[in-house]
Amino acid sequence: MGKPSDLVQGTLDLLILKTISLEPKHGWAIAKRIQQISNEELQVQQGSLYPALHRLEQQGWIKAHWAETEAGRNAKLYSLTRAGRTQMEKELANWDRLSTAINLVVQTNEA
Amino acid sequence: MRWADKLLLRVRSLFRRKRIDHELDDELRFHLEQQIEENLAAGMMIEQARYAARRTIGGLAQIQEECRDMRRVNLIQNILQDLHYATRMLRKSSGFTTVAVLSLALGIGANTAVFSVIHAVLLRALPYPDPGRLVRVSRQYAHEGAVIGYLSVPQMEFWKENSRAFEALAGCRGGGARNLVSGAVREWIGTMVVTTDFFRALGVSPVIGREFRAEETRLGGPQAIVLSDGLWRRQFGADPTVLGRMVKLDGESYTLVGVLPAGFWFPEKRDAFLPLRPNGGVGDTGMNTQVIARIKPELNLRQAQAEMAAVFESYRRRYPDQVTGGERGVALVPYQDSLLGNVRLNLLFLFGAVGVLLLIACSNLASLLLARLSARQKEIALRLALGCSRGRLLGQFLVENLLVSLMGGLAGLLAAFWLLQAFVALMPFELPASAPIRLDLPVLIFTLAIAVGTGLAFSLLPVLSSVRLDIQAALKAVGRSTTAGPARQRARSILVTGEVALSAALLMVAGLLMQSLYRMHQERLGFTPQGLIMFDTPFAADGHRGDTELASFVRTLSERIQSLPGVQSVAAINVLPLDGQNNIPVQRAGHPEQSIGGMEYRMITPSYFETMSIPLRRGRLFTADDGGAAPSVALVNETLVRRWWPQAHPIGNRIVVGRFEEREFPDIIEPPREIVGVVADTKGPELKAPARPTVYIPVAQARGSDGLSWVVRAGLSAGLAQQLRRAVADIDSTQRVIRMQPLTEMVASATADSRFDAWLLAIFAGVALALSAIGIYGMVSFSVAQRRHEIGTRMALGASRGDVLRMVVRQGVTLLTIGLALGIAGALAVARSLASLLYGVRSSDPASILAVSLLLLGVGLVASYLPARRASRVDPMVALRYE
Repeated sequence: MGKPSDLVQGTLDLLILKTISLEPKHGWAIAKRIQQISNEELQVQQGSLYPALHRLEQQGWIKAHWAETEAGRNAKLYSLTRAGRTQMEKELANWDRLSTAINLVVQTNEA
Repeated sequence: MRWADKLLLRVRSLFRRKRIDHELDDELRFHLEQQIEENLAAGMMIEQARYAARRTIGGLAQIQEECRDMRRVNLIQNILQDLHYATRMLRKSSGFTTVAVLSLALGIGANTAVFSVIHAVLLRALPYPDPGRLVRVSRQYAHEGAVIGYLSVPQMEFWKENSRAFEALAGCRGGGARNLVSGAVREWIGTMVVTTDFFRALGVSPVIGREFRAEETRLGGPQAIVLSDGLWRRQFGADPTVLGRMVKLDGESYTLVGVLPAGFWFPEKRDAFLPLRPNGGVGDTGMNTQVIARIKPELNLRQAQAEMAAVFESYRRRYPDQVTGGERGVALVPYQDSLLGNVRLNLLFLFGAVGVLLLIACSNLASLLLARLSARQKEIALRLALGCSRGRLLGQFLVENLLVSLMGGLAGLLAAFWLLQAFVALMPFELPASAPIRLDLPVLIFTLAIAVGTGLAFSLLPVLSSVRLDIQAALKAVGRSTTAGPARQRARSILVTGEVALSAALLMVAGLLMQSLYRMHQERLGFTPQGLIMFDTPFAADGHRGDTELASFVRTLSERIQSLPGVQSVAAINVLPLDGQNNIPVQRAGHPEQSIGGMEYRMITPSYFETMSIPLRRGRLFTADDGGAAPSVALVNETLVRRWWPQAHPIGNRIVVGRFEEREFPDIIEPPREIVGVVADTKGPELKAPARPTVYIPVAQARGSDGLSWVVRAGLSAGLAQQLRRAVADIDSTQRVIRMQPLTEMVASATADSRFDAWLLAIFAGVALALSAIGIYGMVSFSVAQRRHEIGTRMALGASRGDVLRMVVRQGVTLLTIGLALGIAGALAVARSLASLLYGVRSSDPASILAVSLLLLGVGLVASYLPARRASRVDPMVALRYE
């Protein structure tokens, strides 16, 4: 099971941005969503999730508001800002480039 | 826009901290509850679910803290908190704070003051357009690359006609004090005579009027005067219509042709400028004129220099007999450099000294900080263990140390304010500063920079060493004081050694300078200044006293003064020893090979040698009978005898004043004089130089003079000065009397610059010594405190007090010896470049080395003995139990 420090540096930001790009989510939901979609491969620790959220908010890429959840509880929901969307696209492109490159390296047969 | 948003967020975070913290709390609690719910759904019991949820989440407080960090709230908050904490710490340990701030204030203050002078004198460009193109045209000599910045007028004119490298080339020299009369205006003004193009070369033009025309610089041409702004405002009410007005200078008429701008600056302050009119006299053929030139914009210094080399060659071919004494060429010296001369060395030397002082103060501070850090080691370890980040810890120390160094800087600025006034007032060398020397913006920036720089630099070392701290070890040491970590102990040892080395170097140089000063005071003046009063009677040009008038003035005044009560003797001379020079060409009659171009020439009254207590070696002195009608006679000094008559007897030989290698100078040529006696040497113009060949003639046989100095040997009486002035006024009411003072004072001013250097250095060295003593004392007592347990054990195992004493003192003395050796080696390296500031003592003077070593060793022994004695009195039982 991957620990957060096993996440490639900087990918947590991308995961968060991508996760909330469709609809606003609270911290718990973000962690759960990442876990589900990755087939339980990626597990985001709270110890890194919340600082990351606050950092992204501070950078102006996401914004937060308080709202009621379906269960009628008050939760802090994070959504993407316009700057955040641009940033996400930039990081996605980066990620594509990087993963393609890494794949090329690790899948090459050196025979 | 995004920056503004971020800033808003940050400010919001800062001011609504409570609310944000609250929100953060809620957010995390929400997360926790979700986790519990999930656990419950997975079938856990409620207690188990809560416990598991808490475990997965980890330290809530830590997450909160990290979130705050992410918001950058903490950065500002932390600094404020650190500042608060730092002020409290510093207030609590007021002893440390006082020592730290004072030593920094001293170092920074002295540096700031000296830097202000350096900034004004060395760094600021001269106030002329494109000052880099201004050069002083100088003579280059073969030996030791000597350069002399004075030319003869024919040489200057040759350069002017034949060189193509300059936009303008002009000469100037002092014009003496003149009596200005214009209507109701009467003032003694200082003048300078200059050629055409003088102001053009400087790049300055008169605000009204013009500079001199060629015909005004020719003998017999119209006389003209250019006023300084000060004189124009002072005496002419800044009247713009003064141009063309006639004024009288020493009775001669001059047309006012120009006024200089208010900001005009020339190193020698003058009230007015007159045309330099060459008359072929000795003043022109002698090397008396400074020549300034402005290089053409398309040429650089090297090209101009190359061109002048060619011009010099054609000069040498044309006037081979004019190129003598090893003159080898023309040197173009950048004008600013030419103004500085010895001042640059003096200032850089001072700057070096204050720099060393600052270094010592800083290493002292660093070593104090190290000691304090060791004492706070447990506090630090505890904080690290409780999760304080190392960066945060580093930040806190930086804030603390910056606070100290800024306080030191502020105090240093205050100190500099006073020091600067004292420096400028006491500095005995002429400072060619084109702008006032003061604490201005660049100086303030410099001060701030060194304050922050020292704060940072000297915090970093101890701080880094503590951040590397091993928490485990440090915590284990809580409650048990062991010997400090070897790394830190080594750092302190290095600091203290460095401090001792720097102090040793300062002490050594100070010692050399003090010794030079002592040697200078021991130097045989050749006369006895004690009990003598001197004054000058400068003759105005219109009252220039020609032969008979001069003789009668001198005779009447001498008799008048001699008759005053209490006066034992009185004498007059044109230039007193150590008071300047007056040299002219002299040749031994019939021996053109025995010619001296610059023989010191003195006209005296017969009583001069007796009044000054200068012994007669051979022959006779002058008498009242050696008057204008009597045969021409002369006295010579022993230096001249050694030069011209090493074996033979000089008396009866004849010399000719105004003749050089059979060439005669019409304005000063005198009939041959017979040598009637030889007198002992006195110092010439300079204390540091040996006596120069000198010829004395009776003032009664002189062709005239433009002034005399008088010396009076008399018992001290309150009214003497007044009586002397009255005596002069009675004979000639227009005659000025200046510089009335004890002769000893005039002699003292001849050593003023050496005294200044020596005393300043002595003060610096004293401070350095005190700082190093504190450093050694602190180091040894600190290590004693650290080793208390060890010492107790040793004593319990049978070590005697003497053993402990020796062990501790040995530690101090080892550092001391290493530092001393390094310092003296450094001083020897530096002192060689200070040779020109030294006199009568070699830079490797063994006596100074010995004295400095003994002094430092003594101080160091005391500084390490005190804590060592304390250590040896430790009761082993107490020390072992002391935990």
